[in-house]
Amino acid sequence: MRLTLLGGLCLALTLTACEGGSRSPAPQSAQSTESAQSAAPVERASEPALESSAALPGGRREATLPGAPAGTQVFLVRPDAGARDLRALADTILDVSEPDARGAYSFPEAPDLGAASAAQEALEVLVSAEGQALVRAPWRGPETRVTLSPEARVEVVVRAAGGPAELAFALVLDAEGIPLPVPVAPCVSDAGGALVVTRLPAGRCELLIASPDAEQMARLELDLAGGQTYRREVTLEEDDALTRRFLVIAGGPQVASAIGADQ
Amino acid sequence: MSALTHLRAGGLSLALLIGLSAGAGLLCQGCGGSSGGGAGASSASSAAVSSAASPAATTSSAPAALPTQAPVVNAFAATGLGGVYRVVGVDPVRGPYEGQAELRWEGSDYAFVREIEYTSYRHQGRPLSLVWTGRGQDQPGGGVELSLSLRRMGFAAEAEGIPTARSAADGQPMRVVGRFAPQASAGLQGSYQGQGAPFTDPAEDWTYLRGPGAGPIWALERTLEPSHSAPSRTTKFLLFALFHDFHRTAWIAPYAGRADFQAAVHSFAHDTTDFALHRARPDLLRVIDALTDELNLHEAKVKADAFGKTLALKASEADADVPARFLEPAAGCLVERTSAGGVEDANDGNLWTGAYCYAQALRYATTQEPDARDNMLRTARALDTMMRISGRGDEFARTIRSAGQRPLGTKWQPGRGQFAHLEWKIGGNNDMWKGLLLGGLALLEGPGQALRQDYGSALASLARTHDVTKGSRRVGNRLITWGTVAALTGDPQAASEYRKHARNPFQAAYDVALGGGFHYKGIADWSGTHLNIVGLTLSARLAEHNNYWLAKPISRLALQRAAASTAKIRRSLHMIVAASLAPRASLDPSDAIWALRELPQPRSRVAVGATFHDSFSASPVPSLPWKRDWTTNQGRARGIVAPPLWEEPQGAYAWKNNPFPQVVAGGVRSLDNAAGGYLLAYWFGRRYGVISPTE
Repeated sequence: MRLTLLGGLCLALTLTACEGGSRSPAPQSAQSTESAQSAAPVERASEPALESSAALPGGRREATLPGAPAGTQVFLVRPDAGARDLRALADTILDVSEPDARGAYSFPEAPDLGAASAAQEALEVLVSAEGQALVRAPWRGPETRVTLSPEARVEVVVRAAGGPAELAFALVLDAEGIPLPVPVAPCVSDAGGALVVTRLPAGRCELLIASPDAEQMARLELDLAGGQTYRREVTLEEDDALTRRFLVIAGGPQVASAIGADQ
Repeated sequence: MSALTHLRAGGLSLALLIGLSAGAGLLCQGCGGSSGGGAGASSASSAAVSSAASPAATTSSAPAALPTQAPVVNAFAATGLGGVYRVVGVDPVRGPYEGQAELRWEGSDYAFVREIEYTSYRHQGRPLSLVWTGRGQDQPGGGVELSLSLRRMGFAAEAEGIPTARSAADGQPMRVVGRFAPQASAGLQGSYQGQGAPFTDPAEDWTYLRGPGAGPIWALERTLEPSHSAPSRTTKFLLFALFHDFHRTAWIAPYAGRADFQAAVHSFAHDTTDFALHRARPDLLRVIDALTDELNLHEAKVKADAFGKTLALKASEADADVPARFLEPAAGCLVERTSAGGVEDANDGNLWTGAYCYAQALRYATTQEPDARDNMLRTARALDTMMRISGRGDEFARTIRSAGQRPLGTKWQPGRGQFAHLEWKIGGNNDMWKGLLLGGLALLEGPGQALRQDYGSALASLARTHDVTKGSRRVGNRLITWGTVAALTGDPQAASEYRKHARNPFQAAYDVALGGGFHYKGIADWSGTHLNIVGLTLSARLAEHNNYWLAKPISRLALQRAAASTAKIRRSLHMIVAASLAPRASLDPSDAIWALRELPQPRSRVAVGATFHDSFSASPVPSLPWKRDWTTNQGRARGIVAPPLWEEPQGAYAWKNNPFPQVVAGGVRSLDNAAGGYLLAYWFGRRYGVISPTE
């Protein structure tokens, strides 16, 4: 799943808590504890669809996203199959535009591709809107078509041996293990250990939850339905394999090389 | 791990850290309030020990029944020799001294502590105090025999201006025996015998003062704090397989069989010993459990220069020292000084100049002192020159210097036009870029409003073409660069670029996940962590200067996680910045402030001699392993315990060093540097109230 899920209502899928990989046997509290509370469907308005608009003067192309929630961000993305860590993925974001009251947003006719090369035709838009699942679509200027669908949310209470785990960070991966660009601030746990992952698309995803030094980890593997809220509790514990995986996905090749993960 | 756990819980830290032999020189850790005496004056039988050590025999009668001048022989009959004594003695070399000694019964022998100060002897004008610890055994016929193990050396192998140099033989302590006999009217009398120079066999008299108190009269306060958990079996297998040929090098192989090497847990020594004493008597030199020679006295001076001065005094001295010695007269950038006082260019002069420039901006914002303003403006102009002097958009100076002083060689270029009086060093790179950005931040937060527009324009010109912002994996640089330009110039295009990068969700995730740098089982990019905190500092401040609501929470969270993640590896600047810009109840800056207490002023340039101690062990992981040169570069071999900061050479900048000592240590560093690292952390903390002005 690479956020290419376009259109259609998300089906409620079975939720699965992850197992501990190489850890065995895991104590009861060491992994996610499924909340007794069932996921509550989120009421959604009808799905807004992107409409076309003419090219702008000044070398920009405009498109519209009627009904986009306030604060919606549309990113222009250069797809890069080799980008699998955060810094490499950061390089794929070429530009960002916020739809106006009409839902209109625009990007340059010939965006700066930075150090990379990519065909203009291969560019995509990534839409991040409150209450909506992240979604990608080919960038076709006025002909761009995006369909938003209700987000899935995961609310996690993170604990450590001494109580709530503050400042734990949930790195969210798609089914291929590639980070998803969900809003970051809510992914950091507060003093009570609570964090929330929003704007998740339906389907499988994985959360790598790390203490600040990544010495204590937890992992959740979820199969999400759009419009659903999931609640979980996890307890951080030492897991070198998860630590290494977190560091490599966050830090990329240099960190992988440093810790011998590229050997 | 078990060895380290034991270390933390027990009293072996001194022995393992500074090389005392086991069984000697260790202080009681669990004596409680017992003032138990030993055997009677005429017997050391176990029955007598048992009886004397019972609470009834210790706490109820001794102090009340034994006035200070009571006949000592009678006192011994009641409590054994346990107690606190006044010491008066004479050293054949250094003359008279006074102090206290204590014998504390611990079930089978005494813990011995002796703390004296020379009455008239001075070392370089400073009074000298010695502390010795050891064990004491009752002797048949009365009296006590003391067994001491005095280190021949501490942490230094060499120091500038001192002819003494250590060798492996100095890692073996000197055994010293003290023999004391009871005197009819004056307590105990005796002397110490060592094994030759520099020990001087002092003789002294002890007069009983009181029974032992709740704790010993002096204690070593040094512990080891692991910086990470023990690697799992799988991880250890992987790391040891990866570094197998490193372990077989001639300089690592001798350590490979050690338990601490095999445990693969790195630790930091935390040492608060005598802090209060040094603050109360800043001139006092204190030598602990070591022979008194020139180099050990120098070590004592280094520690006294760290603990004895308030942070404010150290900052004051450093603030006076930098412009006097470390600003290049014509260029205005930071330089290094040779032992003879000559000027050498600093290879990373741009970065250190930027850090110093921002430190002075923070100082000026805190104190409004004119010389802070002058220092800041002078160095900001130097940074501005470094941007312009190449005359090209794709090149800026690594550092600059006065023209015509030395050959240009291959790395220096002559300045042209308005810069003809200067030369510039090629190689401005990502690291040096941070110096330029810190200079920009200084202009935003300090004086120099008139410079802002030009500085920002020069920065923008470089940013459009230089690889530090155009290359891959440079989104973070683009963010803080365009944020700086936007705030300096008000240029809407720069502001737009800044906001674009501030909204990059992957960059935000990176900053929060790992923005402060990574640390894994002793592996870190040590100088890189300094660049990391500079980047996060810029992100946080630029979010404010550009008043961008979206960037503010991310930069705060990134700082908080960075500080929390690096606390155990003592990246103290991280914590001080986080506590300043993103305070959070769970972030405790006290150890970071303590790190500033550990830094001596003037700075220390000793050559480290840690490897000469039996307690030394190497780390099983090489430094900067991604360089892949661990079989050929001996500098990659490091110890597994990081000492307090006064025990390591300060190098160019306090917050960029690998804290673990080199296994194959070099000599004394020939160049001296400005205390820019100290000043940045100090004025950051002062500006935001993390550090008290009276600290």
